[in-house]
Amino acid sequence: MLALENIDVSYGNAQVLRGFSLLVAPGEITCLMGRNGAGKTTAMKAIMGLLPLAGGQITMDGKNLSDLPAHKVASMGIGYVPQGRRLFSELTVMQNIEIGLMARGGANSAEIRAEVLDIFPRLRERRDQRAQTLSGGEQQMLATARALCLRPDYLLLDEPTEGLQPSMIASIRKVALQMKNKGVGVLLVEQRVEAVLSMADKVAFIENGEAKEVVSVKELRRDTALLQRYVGV
Amino acid sequence: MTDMTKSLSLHLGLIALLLSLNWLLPSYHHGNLARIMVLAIYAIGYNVAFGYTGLLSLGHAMFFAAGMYGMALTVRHLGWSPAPALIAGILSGFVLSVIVGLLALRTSGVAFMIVTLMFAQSVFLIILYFTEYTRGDEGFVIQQAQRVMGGIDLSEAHNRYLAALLGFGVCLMLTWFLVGHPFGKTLIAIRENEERARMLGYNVYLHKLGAVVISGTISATAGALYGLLFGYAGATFATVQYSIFPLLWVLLGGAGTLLGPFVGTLFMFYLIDFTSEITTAYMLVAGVALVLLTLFAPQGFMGELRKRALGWLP
Repeated sequence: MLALENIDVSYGNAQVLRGFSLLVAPGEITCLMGRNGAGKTTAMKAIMGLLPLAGGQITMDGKNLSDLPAHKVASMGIGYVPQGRRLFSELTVMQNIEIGLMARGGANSAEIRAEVLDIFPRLRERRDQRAQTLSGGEQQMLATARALCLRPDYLLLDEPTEGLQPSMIASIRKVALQMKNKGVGVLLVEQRVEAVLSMADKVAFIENGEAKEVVSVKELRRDTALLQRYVGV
Repeated sequence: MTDMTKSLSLHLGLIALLLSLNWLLPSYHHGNLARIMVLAIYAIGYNVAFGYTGLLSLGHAMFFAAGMYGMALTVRHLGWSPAPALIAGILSGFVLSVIVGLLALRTSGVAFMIVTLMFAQSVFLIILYFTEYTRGDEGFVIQQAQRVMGGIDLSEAHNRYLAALLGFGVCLMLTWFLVGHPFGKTLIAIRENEERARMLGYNVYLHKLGAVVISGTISATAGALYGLLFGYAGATFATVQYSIFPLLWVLLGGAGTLLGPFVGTLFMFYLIDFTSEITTAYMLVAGVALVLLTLFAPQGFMGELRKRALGWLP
């Protein structure tokens, strides 16, 4: 279980997360929803150790992650695909994947490489192309593939469908579901309601840095008032 | 032929070509090329930090000077023979780069440039302050008798050329190996997107420290060789100008390409050499040429070549 317990995070004097709590279970897709500026990306960055905690703690399967630097958090089994993809743009598709594989220390590289390329066959076709020349959807695939090279126990996806065409969104959805079926806990930050309803198991709402209701997707389908209240749709 | 084989053949081919030129070049160009090869070692060192890791240092002259003085002072004051003195020079650069790296890498971007510049100025001032040992601005000559290594007189033109080529070849192939190694690939990843590399589980600080140490040690090797082969050590080599030179050479030749440092050094050396014969305002001509090149070939000679034709160039 990935657990955020009453965490406080600030940017200088501006406090963004206030006693925020969240649970991400293995084999489940949890979606974090809220308006712009509510603190969704901040929560992900806090998990990754990119922002220091002013209070509270973050644990993964009982291990405290709160004071660990980002590179240690990643090596403990949390894959992060940030908003905007953040690829190594001058490197080719395969070189990007190799960097992901090397981060694991090189164990089972051939097997994982084949596995990742099977998930994203499009990347196999583009293997020698520089990352910056890929389409938005392909870049998202590559960013996700690179995170999967770590064989993470938990996968954080920050707005993975942003700016993508429907076929690409379907691919991302398929991967999230595949990961879930493998027992990976997925934390998804997403604005598209239809994408959330089609892949998430539960939705946690966040408002002004505070955790609000956590509901199952089934409940949310029945009662969409929460979406109106916290997301404005 | 795989990309790796092509690249290895190209680099070994260049070394073979430079070896054959030892017997073909007229004496003027023969001497120039020996000097260019030693300066190219310095540029190769700079390229590891700047071209491959994205660390823009304005203080690399301190490593060059550490190598030069580490070698020259042990010869002059302790009477060491060239081989251990050369090692002392390289070790001086190694130790200095560890210390500077540990401190300067707590900063990044512009602050890193300023901190490295300040460290280099400190080294320059230390050289001037201890004039009694270093002879300050004037510097000192290393006598011909002190430049004989294992019976080989390094002041003799052909020996000097071959020693410069040996140093150049070793450093070139060392970086060729480095760039193909996972450590080198990680440096490129850090250059491209530091935060992303960190989020994949890489210890960015340690990798950058490794890059600064390798870069500083190679630069010190160049400094030690320069002093030994050309018989002089002076504070000029610790000035800010000598920190800017490798940046220019690397930018011209192609940052983040293995042959770029050599090509850039060769081009800049001869550009100044030719223009200074035509006009006293040779730096103006050189400056205009640099501006044009930066405008029309922003990735440098080898960078453009890689982009347009030879994508496999490391």
